[in-house]
Amino acid sequence: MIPVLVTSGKGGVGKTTVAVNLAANLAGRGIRVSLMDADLMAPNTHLFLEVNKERLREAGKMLLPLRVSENLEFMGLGVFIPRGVGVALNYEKTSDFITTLLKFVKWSGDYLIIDAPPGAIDINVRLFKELRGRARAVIVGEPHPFAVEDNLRMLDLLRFFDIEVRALVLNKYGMFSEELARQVVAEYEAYAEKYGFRIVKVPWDTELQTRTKPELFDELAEAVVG
Amino acid sequence: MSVRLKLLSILPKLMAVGLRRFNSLLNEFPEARTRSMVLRLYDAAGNQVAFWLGFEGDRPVVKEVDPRNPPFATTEVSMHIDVFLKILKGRLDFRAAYLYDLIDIKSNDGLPSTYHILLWSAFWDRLVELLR
Repeated sequence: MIPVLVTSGKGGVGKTTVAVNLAANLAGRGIRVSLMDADLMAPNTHLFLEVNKERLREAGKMLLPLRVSENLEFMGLGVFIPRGVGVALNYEKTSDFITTLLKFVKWSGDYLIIDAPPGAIDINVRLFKELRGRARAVIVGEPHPFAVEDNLRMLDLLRFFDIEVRALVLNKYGMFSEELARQVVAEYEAYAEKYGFRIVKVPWDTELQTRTKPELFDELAEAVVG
Repeated sequence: MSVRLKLLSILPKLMAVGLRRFNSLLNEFPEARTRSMVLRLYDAAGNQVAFWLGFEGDRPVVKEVDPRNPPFATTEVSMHIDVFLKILKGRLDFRAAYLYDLIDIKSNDGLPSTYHILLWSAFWDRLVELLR
């Protein structure tokens, strides 16, 4: 199983949208995909999947992920949290959740897509340490200058933990000024060439707020599995 | 009011569920057969009581134990008596109580404590349902 982190330097850029659509795209190709919602600050992945909040079961001291479709399975904190309840977990408990999700779920996918928390926060560092040297990553950002600063920090951090960045997604492309977007792309291109990742533009599409459109994620899927 | 006195407000209902619905609960949650729990309830004055729940052979057992030196259990669950009563009376969701940091879970079987929370929250839901 190859872990693929979907991460970002800042929040609210569309990591969950990218993670879910990437997973759906790969599953549509007949690849077995496991999808893990590790964003303990905003665990919303399940909302895109229409999974039932059914009772979790175990097999041999491993939790069984929820089946979404023939090739797609899912597990995350979102299936556990009642709607509207705030999360006041300390580092110890969030870290414990990460351990459960990474090591005590009976994942069966060829790829484990991980919807990670944003930014260089402690729980992300914990996740990166666990996946050091064996994971791939997708960095998600919006095409504007602030995002560049945050994502260059994330790129550095992932490289520090020997996690192979396969793609940088410019999400909501077309929503921001074309001139700014061009400047951002030009700046990222130097890094993409140096470190060997692809820049993938995902167009601004309001339908992506309410449903998956895996066909928009072909280029990303190829960057991840290629 | 002491922890014990407060417990009395829910004890008859708990005993009724235990007597009448135990087997159906066990059928729903067969994982219980291989696990045990120390339930520790305390109040603001530092008073506490503890119970050991589990199986001795095929026999289900609930017994009061020394909270300072309880026997081994696969998990130890601790909470304020008021939190416990609110959960059982359906006024506080078990999951929410955990997420608000009102419940402590210690795992003694090598599994992460959150594993137990994920697996067992449905049991508490069912118990609350039966107590209504």
